[in-house]
Amino acid sequence: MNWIAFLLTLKLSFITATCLLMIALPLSYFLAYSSKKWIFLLEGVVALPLVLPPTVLGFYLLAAMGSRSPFGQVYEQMIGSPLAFSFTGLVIGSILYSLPFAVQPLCNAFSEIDPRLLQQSHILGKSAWTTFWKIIFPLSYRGMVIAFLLSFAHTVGEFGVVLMIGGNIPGTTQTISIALFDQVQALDYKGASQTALILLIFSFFFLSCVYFINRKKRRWIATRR
Amino acid sequence: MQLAVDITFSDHKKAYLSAQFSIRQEKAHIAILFGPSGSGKSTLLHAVAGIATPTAGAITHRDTCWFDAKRKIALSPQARSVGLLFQDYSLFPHLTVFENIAYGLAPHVDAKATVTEWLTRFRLKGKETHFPRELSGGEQQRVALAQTLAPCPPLVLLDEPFSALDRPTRKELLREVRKWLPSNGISAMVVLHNLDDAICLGDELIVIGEGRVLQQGKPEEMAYRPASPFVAEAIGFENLLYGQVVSISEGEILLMVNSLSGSGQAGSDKNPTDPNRATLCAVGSGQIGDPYYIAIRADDILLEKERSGESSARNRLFGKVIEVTPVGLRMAVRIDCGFQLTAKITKKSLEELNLKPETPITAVIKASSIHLIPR
Repeated sequence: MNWIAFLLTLKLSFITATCLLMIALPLSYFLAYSSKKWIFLLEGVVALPLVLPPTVLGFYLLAAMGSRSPFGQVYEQMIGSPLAFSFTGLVIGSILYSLPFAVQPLCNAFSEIDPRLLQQSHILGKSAWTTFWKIIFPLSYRGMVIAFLLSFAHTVGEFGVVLMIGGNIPGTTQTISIALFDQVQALDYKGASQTALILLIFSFFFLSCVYFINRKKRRWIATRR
Repeated sequence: MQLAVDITFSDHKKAYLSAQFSIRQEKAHIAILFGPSGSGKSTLLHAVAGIATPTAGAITHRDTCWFDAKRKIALSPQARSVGLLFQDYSLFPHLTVFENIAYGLAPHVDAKATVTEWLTRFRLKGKETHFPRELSGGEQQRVALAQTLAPCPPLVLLDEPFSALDRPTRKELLREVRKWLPSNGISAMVVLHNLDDAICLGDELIVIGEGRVLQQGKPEEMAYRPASPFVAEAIGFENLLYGQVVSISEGEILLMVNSLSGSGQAGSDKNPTDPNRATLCAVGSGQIGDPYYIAIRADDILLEKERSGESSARNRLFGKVIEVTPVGLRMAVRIDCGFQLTAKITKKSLEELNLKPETPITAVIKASSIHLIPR
């Protein structure tokens, strides 16, 4: 069992899921409540990672992060080391790759809120910000937890993007799924089966959590006594 | 002038609602919006509250412009300080009764005292820690009403505020609201469907229909002088006929009746000079040939079995029963006396008169119960 790769994967997933929640919250709020006509284009872009082969996303990311791209150059001049094949690069890649897994549950949670509740809050004099914290947040809290868990689990299972932009550097960019691939390549089937089993149990645990939360009844939405 | 509304809603350039009205009284005035469902009453309230945007027009409250399509002004709901009770009252499901009522209170207000006052007023004591889901529909509606009124906004908009309440509770709440609003100097626009409630609560009635404001005036005035057949129908005249003046004498006019729904029962084949057939005597004046709508309340029609009974009533119409249908606790009797009329009687009267389809009957109507609307 490659514990270094395992811990690196947990670290990557945690950072990614946390960043994603912060990015996806305003993005989903905009997607759910905006009446702009071009919103479908943005929805399409957000959902792209669902259908795009991870290698395609990885390829474009590599091109954008590389030392020859303007973005890669600016980053390299500011930080002093290239973005490609670094942990930071991996985080950026994971965020894009798992974006729909955070945005979808949040959009669902937001659109399940009766719009009249928000209008009522506004009419009762509360700002959009207060309304968010007092009404939207508590009513979509479960969606937020699910968004976090799903993007965490999805990042753990990431392979193609990491392979393209990570470069398989142990301790820096080698995640557990890549380590598994290496173990198989090296004909280490015993180690590979251990790694695979751990990943399986781990993913199952996370998904059960998601479905448990989905089914859990809360007092105020429970049926009338 | 407290509120001046002149707005139009259009869809694909076709105006479907165009409303002009104003509330002149500066304070404590209750205007009732009256009209059939789908006539746009809720949309009007939403436009005043700032959650629906009219296509054109303007809304002015006191000296502040709330909305002006031309000048591209649209004040946010927060900036308008109104109260709105939605038609099917939406409470915050994750907040308790207490938190719901306290939601709109300003920070300096003593929430506990204010909420307790409302709990007492609306008989909700002991429910403060309940969630909306744990309440009955009527209780939810009272909580929603308390939530809307508790912050004391200068203007409240109530969309069918008593619809979920049983009759005694509705009457009680109606009295509470009737007392509370003026004593706090608050004006209200209230959508109601029940004319009795409207007359009890309102200082003024605004009848909406056919996509516009049809009539605005005192409720009693409108109940006796509807300006159009639509208003007559909206405020509960069951019988709406159409006729022409055929003779005039001493403050009374005789009208030849054609039924509005008119499928051949309008006495066209009858002798037009026969005073017992298809004519009505009403109080009024006019010229021979003047066309009128004729509105009669079902309550104002008496039914008699005797053909020859003498009374002061000017109209004695002989006909037969067509059908009998229950309406609430009473019975609606549809009769044909050259034209069709609906009368309302109690179940007991129905039994005593033994009315069935084809039973011969006399309808008695006082001339003063016949309301004429010029065409």
